[in-house]
Amino acid sequence: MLHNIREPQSLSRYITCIQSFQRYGPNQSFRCITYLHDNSVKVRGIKKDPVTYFKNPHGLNYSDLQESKYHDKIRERFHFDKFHIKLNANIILQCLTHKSFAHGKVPYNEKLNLLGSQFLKFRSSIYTLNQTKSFNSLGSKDSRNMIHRDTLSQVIKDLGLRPMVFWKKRDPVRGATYNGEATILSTVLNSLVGAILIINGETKATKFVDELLLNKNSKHSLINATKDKIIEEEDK
Amino acid sequence: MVVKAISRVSLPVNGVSTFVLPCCKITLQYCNWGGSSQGMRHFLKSSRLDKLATKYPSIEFNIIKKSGHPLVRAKYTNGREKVVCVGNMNIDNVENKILLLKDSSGEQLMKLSKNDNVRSLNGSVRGVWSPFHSAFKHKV
Amino acid sequence: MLCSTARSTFSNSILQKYLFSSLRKHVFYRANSTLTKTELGKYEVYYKNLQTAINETPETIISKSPTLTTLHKRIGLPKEFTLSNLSKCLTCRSSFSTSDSLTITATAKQADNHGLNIFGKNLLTFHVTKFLLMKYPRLPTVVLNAAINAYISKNVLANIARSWGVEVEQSTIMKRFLKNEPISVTLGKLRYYNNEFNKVDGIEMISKLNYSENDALALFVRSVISVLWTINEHAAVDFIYKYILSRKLDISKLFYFENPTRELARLCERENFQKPVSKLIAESGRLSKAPVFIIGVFSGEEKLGEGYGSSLKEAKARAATDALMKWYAYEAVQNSKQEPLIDPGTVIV
Repeated sequence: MLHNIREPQSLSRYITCIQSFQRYGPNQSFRCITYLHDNSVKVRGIKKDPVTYFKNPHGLNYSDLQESKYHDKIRERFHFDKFHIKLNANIILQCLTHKSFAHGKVPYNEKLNLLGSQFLKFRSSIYTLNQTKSFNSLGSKDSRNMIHRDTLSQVIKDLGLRPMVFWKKRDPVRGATYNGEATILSTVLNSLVGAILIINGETKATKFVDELLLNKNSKHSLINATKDKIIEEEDK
Repeated sequence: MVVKAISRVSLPVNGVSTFVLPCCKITLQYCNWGGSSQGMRHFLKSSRLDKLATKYPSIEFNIIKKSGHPLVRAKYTNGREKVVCVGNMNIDNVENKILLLKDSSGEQLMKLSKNDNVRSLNGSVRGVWSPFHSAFKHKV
Repeated sequence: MLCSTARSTFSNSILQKYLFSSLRKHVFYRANSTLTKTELGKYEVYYKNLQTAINETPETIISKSPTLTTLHKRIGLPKEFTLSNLSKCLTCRSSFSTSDSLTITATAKQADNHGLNIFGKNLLTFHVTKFLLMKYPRLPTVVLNAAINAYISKNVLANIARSWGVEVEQSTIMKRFLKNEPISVTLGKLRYYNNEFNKVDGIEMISKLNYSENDALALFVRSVISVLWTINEHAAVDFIYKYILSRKLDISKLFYFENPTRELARLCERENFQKPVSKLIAESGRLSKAPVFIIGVFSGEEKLGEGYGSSLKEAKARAATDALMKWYAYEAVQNSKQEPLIDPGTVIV
């Protein structure tokens, strides 16, 4: 039990553990209680109140979302009307929820992300092919950067969707790199593409990706987001 | 995660939705001098080989001149090879041997036992009978 | 003798010397004569001709290659798929000789399957993922990945290529020259790294480009698919369904549950089912050496699954596994009017 204590500074907790260990012996089960700074009590192994974890890092509450403010905003930002795309509210919310949120109790976007990223990769290789007319440019730095997680997360940030994503930080005190924010934001875009592909079919999804994401003239396209920064080529 | 995956490979089922002829290469070996190659030489001179090659464009036919008995060598997609000696055979028998090799799957010949007539990757549709689920309770 | 991760040490001159001595050896054994300059000159001409033929794939030579034409027919490629394209699919970038590999010319780069492979891989992964997700919408991600691998991993693709009767070029160029082999024969075989030296010579090159045979065969399959796509998109998708997705895979064999009862309880909690309860359905020989128990797991009135076992614990675990399998390996009804299912994800315990 002793090795489970991670923070040495919480001395009171440490002492509680040792005392109970001595009192009850090694085979006796006991609860480890921690007193936090805000006077609340944390008991190990006890179910948490959902209210405490149903909030995203920006303080948005999962349980009271309004369709007009939340889901319609997504529909509007991605021009769903223009592409005749229909996604219901549950699926949109699922696309914006990462597996880390609420201990995976609510629908999350892991598999949609997988499918969406494959589709995006495929469409982007077609885009590169159309631009250069040569298969040899496919493995190049540019074509790989186009669908890099940093590029995808840039698009999500540009669209102002960052505060709407539901996820849990690995460590709330540390920065975006440590918490892997780019990966989380990139799953959102990927899974939206994946959901459109499953629900609305390949034709509409192709149109959506080609005209919105892989189009130089589109405002929030992956092409323009790639140019903004130079991503170091990973040494394979 | 409590679910884990066991890595496996999918199994080939040649003939489901597409079929690739297992025989991919046939080499005909003949001798220009020996009497045992008479039938083979006839076969090579006739138009039968041409017809065969046009009928089965997926088989590569090679002809080799070499002393000794004439041979027919067939290579299969499973990597095996089958060789048949066609010495002293007439033209029809030579052709039959070639057709035999063409039709072969390349697997080694084996005797199937009485109850081994059906081989399938799929399980039984009807399922296995279970005494625990039958309506009639057996008494032991 | 020489492993060259540091390729620079393996300089051109050493290679030339090696080739020279090997030629001398071969000729000595063959004709019992010493090497003449004309012999080396002939070899150089053969080598150059071979290289240009591979890079430029002229129709005159290619149409004479029986291996290539039969391979084309065997896998039922359309007429628009030219033989020179097929030959291109058979050329791996690793096949360029070590002395040239530092400066692979632009024309040579055009003639290999490097880019085609990348595109083919993207195409293949996407279609296989989509197929699996549409068919089994509730597969856990780890199992989904395992299933994708079961269809398109390197070794599976290599097996597919073998079942097409793709031949691999094994002999060295020197041997081919000494046999007086026509160039068209080489064009019909899969060319990848290993053919500069004999295996018995004991020289092995280790580098990034050192693909194994399975790698090279997989490269070929992917490039064929991507060339097909350039001709007709539907043809490529059909091809994938015909040759790859038609293979047999029992999805239930991919699962491994570590703690099935616990996971089932969590699943029922998430889906708002009643708490799962295991009940004994039948038993036989409880006190004997070979007892059998049949246990069903119920949620309210509904029976979720059933399992057998030689102990109550074993049967209970089997029942829970059966119930979980029925949930996760659910097969969606194809072409139905209802909206495709997007599942909430695997339960996290």
